[in-house]
Amino acid sequence: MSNLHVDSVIKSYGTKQVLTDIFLACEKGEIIGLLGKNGCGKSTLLKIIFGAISSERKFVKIGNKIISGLYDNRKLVNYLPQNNFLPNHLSIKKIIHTFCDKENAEKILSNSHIKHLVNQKSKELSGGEKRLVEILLIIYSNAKFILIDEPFNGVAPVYREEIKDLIKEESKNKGFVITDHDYRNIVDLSTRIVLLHDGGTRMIKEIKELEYWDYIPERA
Amino acid sequence: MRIIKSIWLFYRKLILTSATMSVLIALVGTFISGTVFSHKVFGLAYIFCAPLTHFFVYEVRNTNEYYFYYNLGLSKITLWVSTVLLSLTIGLILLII
Repeated sequence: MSNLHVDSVIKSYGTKQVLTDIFLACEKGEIIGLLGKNGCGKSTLLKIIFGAISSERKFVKIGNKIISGLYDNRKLVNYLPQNNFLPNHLSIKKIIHTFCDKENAEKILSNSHIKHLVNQKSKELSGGEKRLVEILLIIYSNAKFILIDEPFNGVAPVYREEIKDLIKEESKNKGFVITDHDYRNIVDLSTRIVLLHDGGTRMIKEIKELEYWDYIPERA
Repeated sequence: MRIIKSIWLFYRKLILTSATMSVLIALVGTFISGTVFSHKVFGLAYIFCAPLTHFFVYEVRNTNEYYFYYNLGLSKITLWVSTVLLSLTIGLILLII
């Protein structure tokens, strides 16, 4: 079975080494919650895995295929960035049909929250509506592994549970790596938690360990 | 096929602005030289205007849109090469006819 394997990632910004000691593995059916403080390199790590930015060193493998850039990633890894990525000159319908295959496009188009938006151009949507469309696009994309950066950012609480359910449902066929500062939702959703701390990954078994690593304040 | 369709969607955004700029350049050329409107000048201007539009639209204003196309398997280099080649093709056709 193919799994995503990431290690030996080294990335510096100027003289500061942001990522030094990375090990991350994800299999089909898994939802990895990637947590870490602001500026610890979560987004950078996801972009490096995806191939959108370069690093001094990296080793990314899916099954037996070594991934060195975006071209190798095709149909294997998809990535949702923090900020809106929908082309603003296209209609939502066009975007959905371009991004997904026919079957998945129909699933998105029939979503009750999206239905009324499909004929509008992306630039006519609010920030939250755009985010919802993006999340559905990425969840229903055909890639084997999905990297999601802050999915709950700007999304109304009422949609969050639905998004979590969709991710859980789709994780039967693919692997997810998700990062968000809303750690409660991440802990609730994930099958495994990884904390990015001091440039390295730490496997988290219990919430108490997040306190130990100073990610959340100690509870009385 | 999906790749070609994606490149076309990416490029489509540049056409109107590039063509408008090229028409204006051709009109200025017409005005200065006192000749009739030349589609050759338009074609030549288009070859330079489209990559310039690409730079302002995607590198300056909508940088994040690149991620949409990355997810479709298109790298930034591929998108730049596509812009240059498509613009050259359109421009050269206008120069030749």
